[in-house]
Formats: sequence, structure tokens, C-alpha cells
Amino acid sequence: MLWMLVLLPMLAGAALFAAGSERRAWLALVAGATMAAMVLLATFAAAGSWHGELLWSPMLVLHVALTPLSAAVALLVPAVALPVLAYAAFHEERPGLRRLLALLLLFVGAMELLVIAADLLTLLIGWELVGACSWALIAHQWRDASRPASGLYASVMTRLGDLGMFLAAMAAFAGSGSFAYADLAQLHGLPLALLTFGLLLSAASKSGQLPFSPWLFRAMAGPTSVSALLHAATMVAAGAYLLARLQPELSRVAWFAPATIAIGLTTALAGGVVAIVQSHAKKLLAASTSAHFGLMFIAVGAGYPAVAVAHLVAHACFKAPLFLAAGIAGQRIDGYTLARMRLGHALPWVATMSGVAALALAGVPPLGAAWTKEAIAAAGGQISPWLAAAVLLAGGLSAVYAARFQGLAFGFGDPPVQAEPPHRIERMAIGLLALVTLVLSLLWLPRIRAALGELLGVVWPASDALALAASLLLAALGLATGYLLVRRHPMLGQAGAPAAVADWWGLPTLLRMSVSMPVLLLASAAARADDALIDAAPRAVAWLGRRTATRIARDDDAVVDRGVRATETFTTALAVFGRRLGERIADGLPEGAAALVSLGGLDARRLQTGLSQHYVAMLAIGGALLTVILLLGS
Amino acid sequence: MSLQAILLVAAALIGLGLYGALSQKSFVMLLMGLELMLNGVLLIVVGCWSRSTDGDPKGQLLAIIVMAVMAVDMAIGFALVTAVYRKRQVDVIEGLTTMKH
Repeated sequence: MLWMLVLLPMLAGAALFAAGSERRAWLALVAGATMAAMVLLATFAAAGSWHGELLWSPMLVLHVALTPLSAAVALLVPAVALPVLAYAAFHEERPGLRRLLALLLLFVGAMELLVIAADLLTLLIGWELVGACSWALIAHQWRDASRPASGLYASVMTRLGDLGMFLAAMAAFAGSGSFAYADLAQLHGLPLALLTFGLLLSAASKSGQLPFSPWLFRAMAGPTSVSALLHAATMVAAGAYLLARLQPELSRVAWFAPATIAIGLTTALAGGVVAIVQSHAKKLLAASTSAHFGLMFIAVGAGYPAVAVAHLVAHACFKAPLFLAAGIAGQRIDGYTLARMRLGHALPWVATMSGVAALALAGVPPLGAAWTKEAIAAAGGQISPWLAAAVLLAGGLSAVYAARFQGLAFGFGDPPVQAEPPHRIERMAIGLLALVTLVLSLLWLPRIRAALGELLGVVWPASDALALAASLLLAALGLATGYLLVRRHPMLGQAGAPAAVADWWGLPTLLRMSVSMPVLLLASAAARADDALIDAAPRAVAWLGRRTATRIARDDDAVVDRGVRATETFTTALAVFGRRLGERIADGLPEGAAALVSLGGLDARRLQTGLSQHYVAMLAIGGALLTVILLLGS
Repeated sequence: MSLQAILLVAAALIGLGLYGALSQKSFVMLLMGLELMLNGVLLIVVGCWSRSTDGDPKGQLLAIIVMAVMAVDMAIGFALVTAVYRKRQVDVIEGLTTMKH
């Protein structure tokens, strides 16, 4: 039954594509109904602890099962996808809308498979499907040549990490003879280290951690709804979710926690700065996604996967409406340059909902995201107070860019900009997600928190009043800084050093210089060497062959041709002779016979004299002959 | 009288008849030759009947048929000769050349 959670959206996507209708309301209805059904299914699955097995071959069995954490994510994915898909049906451009919705459904299905997987093979299948879907979705508007290129960039970057997943699966199978999560506990030594390394690599690449972060910027080439889904509940979430899911096994490796924390912290701080100076609305949000997933990595590294998942949920609920709002704003000004927006007057509803989500992004209590950030800081504090401080600093940075985003995108410009209001469904989608963000404020209530902890079977890290105060202070400071940036430097990040920083501190350029170009140079050098050296032997063989062939051809002319010509002459002579003889025989026989018969006829005529004596004489001679014969016979 | 003697007489008759048929120019003499040959044949039939079959009535019958044939032969022959003479005024064999090829 648990397979239904995967099959339902995939089949719905296929049916939607096959049905052929392009009507927005119909597409939204089918996609929304599918997502609602999935939410119900996931609830029942979590309550009834469903699980499934699919026998592929005697050696390979696909398992799916739910733990409390994966149930939470399995529920989150369709719940966030529901408004996003409805929004997509009404927001995106006409051409290919049906394909977009079908792919999004498939994307959600693949993500569900990844979430409910209980062995590495199933995980790998879901992981690859998610990657393939993301490529197709980013390259959705393929008529613009740069978009497929961006899709390819993102795809190659994440596929690089996928290699780690393959490594992990192979290491697990080599070490325990099984792919199942349950058997990972048997791993020790090298296989366990390889598994950890592989999973960390693939998770970092999927979740846009350094040094893989730049692909998230290129992924912004996709439609807004794709970005929203990609960053909120699918694809990017997969990395952090995977680490949280397998944290008990992975943490047995000593270097796992430091490595994860290092990656997460670096990304959180670097991404925060990138987002602050970024001038492209969606890229600002993309950088903040990297930063927040960095925070989740820290939580996993500190040993609190549940905190990471809680932040994942909170992040999904505020990041999706931010993207949707950015999409609407971008559509109004036909571009995503923040400095040109200031749509607060024109889009009051969107501005309000975006404001709620931006406050959550900034980590302002009493919103739920603020509490999850506090929890991460508390978890980090158990490793080192400096780590807690760094997390709080990252939170402060997120306050800066949240304020900057809100101020620039939905500030009140002068003169007020006029723009058409968004569609009802678009407003509802953003409103619903903002509402969920508000509902998550309940996390601040200790009783709710304790009940949730009991439900998930986890213990939340104890929070600290001092840290809370520092966090509040930093958030306030961040908001103020963001506001000041909006007022004083609205053009920040469009030129000069900030622009360089805004492009991931020049990391894409660095990657191009350090990876792509050397590889290309090496490849061309290798090609040249191949031409010069390795081809020499085949070329020599070819030359020799040609020479031999020429020689043989000449011999052939001399010997074989002469033979052939002699045979031809002989045959011709034979034919001429045969013709003459044949003519003589073939003509002579019948003609001779005819002449003889004619002669006989003429002679026979001479006997017919007309005289009866002659006839009588002949009769008599005949009778005499007959008599003689009879006499001789007797 | 022995069968041999009878056969000799018959052979002589046939030989005479043959000679007559071959040598004579007149239609009438030709017919006479033929009659003689048939007489020889009749004589052989009768001789053989009386000497070797002990009076089998079939032999007699054959002899009577041959006799009837002779009569018919003569009648037709002379009728033809008369017809030819009336038409062409010829009574010798060389005069009739229409049988030539």
C-alpha cells in the first residue's frame, strides 16, 4: 500500500499528460486532488505504519517503510506541493503547461519514493528520478537556449554527487550483502567510511552545499513553481533529509560530525553573505536555501536529526511562499532584478504574505522557523559555544537578507508602481503556505513541542535564555541592517566586488578555472597525443595495407587478368565453333529429312501411272512376295 | 484324284489368268483374266473342302460366296466397261488416263 504514495502522483502525471487538456482549472484540479489524496494517504500510512516490499530478484528486494521522521517529510512533500502545483497551473506560461504539471507530479512521486525508501537501492532509484526530473524541469522553457544549458549544469553538478550515492550503495552491498538500511549497522571499517563519504558527497551536492552551491543559481532558470518546489520540499531537501534519516548509522564514523558541521557552517555563512549582496530576487532566495540547508547539516552533525527535519519543514513552509511571491513580482516587472521591484503598493496581499514568510526567514519569534533555528543553535552549543554563536550569526545574516528581499521586492516605491493583481488561486496558494508558517508558531508552546517530540520519539535540545537573547538581538540587528541596505544601497550587488561575492564568491569562475578548463585542456592535449602517438600505429598499418593492396592489385592485373582474358578468348572460340556446328546440325537434320521425304513423295507419285495393268502387276508382285515369305516361313 | 493335282490345275488357272490380266489391252480380256484367277481360287477352295474337311458345310458356303462374288464382279465390270465406252469411245486400257496422279 505504501507504494501507492509513489505510484499515485506518477500515474496522475502520466494521465494528465495523456489526457491532453490544457485548461488551467482542469490541470490545477487534477494536480491539487492528487496532492490532497497523497496527504491523506501519507497520514494513513504514518498512522498505520505501512510498509512495502517488492521482490526484484532473489538478491535484490526493494523496501519502503516509514519512520517518524520520514513520515513527517512524506507528509510535508505533498502538503507543500499542493499549493505550489495549483499556483503553477495558473501562473506559468501556456506553452508546455501540461508537460510542466505532469513533470512536477512525477517529481513529487520520485521525491516520495526517496523519502519512504528503506534501502539504498530504492533510495538510489528515487534519487536518480529526482535528478532527471529536475533537469527536465529546469530546462522546461527550452526555446531559450540558455535554459537547457542551465539544466545541464545543474544536472552535471548533482550527478557528480550521485557518484557518491553509487559508491555508498556499492560499499554497503560489499560490506553487508544487502542494501537495506536495517543492515547498515553491520558495516564496519572501510565500507562504513566509504558509505559515509559517498552519502555525504551526494547529500552535499543535492542540498547545494559548498562547493556544489552554484548549481542552485543555474537552477533559477526554471519556472518559479519549479524553483519553489525544488527548494522547499523536493530535490534540495533530499540531501539534508537523507543525512537526517541515516544519521544513527553515519555518526559511527568519527569524522562524520566534524565534516558535516564544517560543510554546513561554511555554506551557512558564505551563503548568507552571498544572499545579502545578491541583486536577483530568486538567486537571493536560492543562496538563502543553501545557507539554511547548511544549518540543517549542522544540526545533523551535532546529533539532532529531528531538529534538522523540523527546520526542513519550517524552511519549506516559508521558502515556498517567498518563491511564489518572487515569481509574481518577477512577472510584473518582467525580470527578477530586486532594485526594480518595489511592488508593495501594487500587490498588497502578496506583499503581506511575503512579509510573514520573510519574518520567518529572518528567524523572528514567535514564528516556527525561529524556534527551529534556536534549536539548531542549542544543538550546536552542545558541541561548542562558538558553533552556537556561528549559527546565531548565520541567523543574523538571514535576517539581513530577509529584510532586504522584503524591502526591495515589496517595499513602497515612489512613485507607486501599478500592476495587475495576481490570480485568485495564486493568492490562495501563497496565503495557505503563509498560514502554515504562522501555524508553526505553535512550536514555541512547550506542551505542543513535548507532544511532538513524543510523537517523533526524539528529545529536543535544551534551549538557553542567553542564546535566545543573543538570537533576538542579532535578528533585530540584521533586520535593521537589511532596512538600511534597502534605503542606502538599493543597487547593491549589481557591480564591483559585491557582484563578485554575489556569484558565490566567484566559485563558478574558480570551478571553471580549476576544473573545467584544466579538464578541457587535458582533453584536447590527450586528443592531440592520441592523434599523434596512438594513431601512428594504425596509420602505419593502414599505409602498409595500402601498399600491399597496390602491389596485389598490380599482380592481379598481370596474372589474374591474363587468365581471365585467355578464358574469355577460349570461350569465344568455343562459342563460334559451337554456333557453326550447331547450325549445321540443327538446320541440316530437319532439312535433309524434309528433302528425303519430298524425294520419296515424288517417286511414289511416279508409280501412280493410271494404268490398271501396272496396278494389277504390283498386286501380283505383292502377292508373289507374300507367298514367298509364307513359304520361307513354313 | 489327289489334292496336289487339283492345286496344280488351280495354280495353272491362276497363272493363266494373271498373264491374261497383265498382257491384254482390252477391258474385256482383262476381265476374262480376272475371272480365270478367281476360278483358280474357287477350285482351291472346293478341292481343299472335298479333300481335307470331310464335307464341312462351311467350305461349301465359301465356294458359293466366291461364285456369287464372281458373278457380281463380272456384272459390275461389264457395266463399267459399257459406261466408259459410251462416254469416251475407248475400249482399251491405255485410253483411260484419268486415274493418273
